[in-house]
Amino acid sequence: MSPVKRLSTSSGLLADTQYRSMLASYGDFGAMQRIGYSSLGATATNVTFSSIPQNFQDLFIVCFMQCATANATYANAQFNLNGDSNANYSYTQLLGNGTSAFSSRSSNGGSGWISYISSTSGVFAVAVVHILNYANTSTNKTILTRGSYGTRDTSTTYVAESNVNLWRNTAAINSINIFGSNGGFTAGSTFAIYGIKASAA
Amino acid sequence: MTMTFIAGQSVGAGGAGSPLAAFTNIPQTFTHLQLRLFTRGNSSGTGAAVHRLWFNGDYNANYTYHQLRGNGSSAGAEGAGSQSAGTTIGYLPPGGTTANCFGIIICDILDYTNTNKYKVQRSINGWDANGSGYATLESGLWMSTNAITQIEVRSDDNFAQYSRVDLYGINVSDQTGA
Repeated sequence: MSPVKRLSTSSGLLADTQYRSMLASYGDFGAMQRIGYSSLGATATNVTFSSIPQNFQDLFIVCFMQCATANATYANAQFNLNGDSNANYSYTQLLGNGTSAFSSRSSNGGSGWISYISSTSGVFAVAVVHILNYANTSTNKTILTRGSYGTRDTSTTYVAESNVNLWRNTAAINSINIFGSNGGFTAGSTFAIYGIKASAA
Repeated sequence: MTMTFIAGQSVGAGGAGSPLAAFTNIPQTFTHLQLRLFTRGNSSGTGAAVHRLWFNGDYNANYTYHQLRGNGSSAGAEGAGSQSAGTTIGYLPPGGTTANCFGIIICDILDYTNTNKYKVQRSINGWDANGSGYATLESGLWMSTNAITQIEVRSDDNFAQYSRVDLYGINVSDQTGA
């Protein structure tokens, strides 16, 4: 298919911008396509992506988060899948605090772990979440996350982390609920979920 | 940015031997490559299986790696230089651990066609089996300026059913998407 070129917007003429196809738009990156997006205009305790399409191979979530309670200690973001808050989650963590690296583990918990998040004014944490084979009904679900945040106060702990979660359930994932501790997330926090195909376009 | 599926290999009933995949004739039209692995060992052992990459059929001592890992109780690190054992990209769960638990590896190979640079890979990896597992960060180097045309993915163990590896190409574009 020939590429499509955009020549103008309502603001006037542009230098021509070429798109791969008529379907190419913000959120379409070839095999990776955005399937949901939430930008908080006010404080919220959680964000839920439901009715997740089952026609992708993997899911990829990008989170930009700040704790709703200023200067809260150890604010964090966690998740539930398919509305399950039973003791079906476990995770292994690798974290660094600017002085040393350490590792910890949780077993038989009621939620999965995304990352610690900032509660300092103006500072947001960035986290990504990888879920491969989310629609496979023969395997338990593995969720890989990576997060980081920092502050300008040199006496405050910086955190960089990588975590792996297990949801002991072979059901296909059709919803993800992301929630924060200490009142949830501030306005300006954003969450985007992408589907990744494992086939030629 | 555009992400394009190039090729993939999945494991059917009965499992499969190592290598999991050998990607050949890799198109040279992308900027970066990404490997996405979802795997589990097929033996009855309980030791984690190490996954490695080799490029362009080079089995000489041209590989290095560094690893930062957490086992749930402590963090550790290791590395090696000038080895022939490929570059390490992560651990995956052995067949003797909790059933139906798989690990994930996301491995990025940047500027794979650049003939002025050694080739670098960066991986995030982890598996958890509700009381065991690893979270790791890996980096590795192939000390060759050749463009990458072939990637071989091997493990210390054979692969269980439902294991898979997919190769993607990533292009950087100027699309605004507005």
